[in-house]
Amino acid sequence: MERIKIVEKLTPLVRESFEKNDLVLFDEMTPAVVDTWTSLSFMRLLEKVEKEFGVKFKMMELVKLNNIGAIVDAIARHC
Amino acid sequence: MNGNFFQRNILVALCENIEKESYSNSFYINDEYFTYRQLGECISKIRRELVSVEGKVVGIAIHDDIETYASIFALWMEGKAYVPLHPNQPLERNLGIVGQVGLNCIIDSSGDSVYSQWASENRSKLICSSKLVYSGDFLDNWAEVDENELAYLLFTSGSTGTPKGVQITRRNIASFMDSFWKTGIKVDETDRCMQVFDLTFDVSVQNVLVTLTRGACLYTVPYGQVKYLCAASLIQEQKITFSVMAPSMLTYLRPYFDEFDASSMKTCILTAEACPVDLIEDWLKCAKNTEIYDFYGPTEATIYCTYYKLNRNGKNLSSNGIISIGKPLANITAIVIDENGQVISSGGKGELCIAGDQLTLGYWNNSDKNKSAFFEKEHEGKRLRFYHTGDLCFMEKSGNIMYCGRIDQQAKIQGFRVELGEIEFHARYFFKNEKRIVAIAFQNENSLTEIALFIESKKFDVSELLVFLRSKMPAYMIPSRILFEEHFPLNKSEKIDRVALKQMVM
Repeated sequence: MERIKIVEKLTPLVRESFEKNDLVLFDEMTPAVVDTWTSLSFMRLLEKVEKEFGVKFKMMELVKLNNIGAIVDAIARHC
Repeated sequence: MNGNFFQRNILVALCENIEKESYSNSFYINDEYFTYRQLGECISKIRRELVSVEGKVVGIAIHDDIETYASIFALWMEGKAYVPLHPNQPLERNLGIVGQVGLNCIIDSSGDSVYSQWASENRSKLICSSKLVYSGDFLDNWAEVDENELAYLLFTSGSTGTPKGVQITRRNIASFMDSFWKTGIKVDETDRCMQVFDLTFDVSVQNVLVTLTRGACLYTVPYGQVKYLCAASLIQEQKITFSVMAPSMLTYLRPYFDEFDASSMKTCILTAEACPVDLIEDWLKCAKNTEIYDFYGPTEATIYCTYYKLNRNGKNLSSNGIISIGKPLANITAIVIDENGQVISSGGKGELCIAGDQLTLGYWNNSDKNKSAFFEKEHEGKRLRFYHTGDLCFMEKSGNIMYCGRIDQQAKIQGFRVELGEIEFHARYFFKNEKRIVAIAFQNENSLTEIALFIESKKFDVSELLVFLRSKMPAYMIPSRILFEEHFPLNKSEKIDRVALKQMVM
């Protein structure tokens, strides 16, 4: 799947999980700049991403998902 | 215990490691190693700046860097205490703490400190520790201070809307370290220890002291990241041997236990939250080479005051699915009392109360709270000062203590203490006291604690409320669910029925 399409599908999931309706995703976006990106909200995002994209991440993939770009890349590898 | 224990077993031990383990690593921070020599140089340069600072307590704007950790020891060598100020907490909350303590100096490694305006407006000193230049060792001739002087001051959630400061002395820390080593846990210069907790959380002090007094290396989880993922990465990639975690971190990692390589870990302490039996049983299977402990303790009793060592082969003590918090540490006296303050014999439920040299002097400038939280009682022929933990417990015949929950409105979110009353206070303020508010802590479908905020009203957009709450409280205190009830249910006493509200959210 193309990155742009992934971002399109990912955006509402991130907005819902992080409770930020106007969040505009960019690759370098990290928990340091989104105050609601917590352990709990990230776990919710993972659940949504795995369901929406039909993917299942391994733990060693997860530990590298420290920004939006890495999440998009990880989805792209699976889809 | 000798009165100079703090200096001898902490400062001397550290300085010996700076000399003896000079080229060994003391810290691993953001993919960079720092040797004991570098740590010593950093302590020295910060300490030189502190010589002219008046006042016993200095603020540290905490960051994940060597200067922040070095500042603690520089202050202790100068006979001073620190108050950690967290960068992710609202500035207004931190400035409230600065005002409460009356600080006239803050150490901040950031070149663009958020405290610049405070310093200029209050004619106070702001030390930018990262810009200081090392000009020779300054690790000896420590200030002579009494063991009852403060070592640190930690602010925790307060139900009146104002955080309350817990005063921890050098004696408290010395007593804690003595207790800790008497558990039989071993750490040496070959160990790789992990620091998951930030410096506003007292477990961080245990990690720093246990690591640096034994010449080991402390691997820190960076701020502004998802902690459980960073911790998992460090454990696997850096082969961590000693870790302290909150059980909720393991709950997040549990779906991945079958692919999680924790084989390097020798010791794992679980703390800051109740330990569910089923989680621990799975963790025991995953961490095959690890001795696992459940440690318990309020900040007021200096980090930990009881512990339970998990059995690998055999049954583990539990009550209602929660692992026992075990027996008191060597320097702790623990009793369970009833509503009349009488000690309950084994088996009966009551409030756990703690006494001993680890007990805080009390809350900073808060005589009302000090009167209600502490009391004196004759126990086994001695007059002791006890702390009301607020934890509902019972003691087994074996002396092991079982945790049953809270007797008040306090919750633990990812290990952080949260007074639900503080959340209600800020929400009520937002609504100018025109709406009834109830904050409820509940377990979600993954057994993690969340906070729901009930508002007695028809549904409306809460975005402004959330913005306001985020300006007042740290992220972990922000309710994850906001629910509306036009009329709150009442109990037989005509009070808001919190139990009924809790059932609505579960």
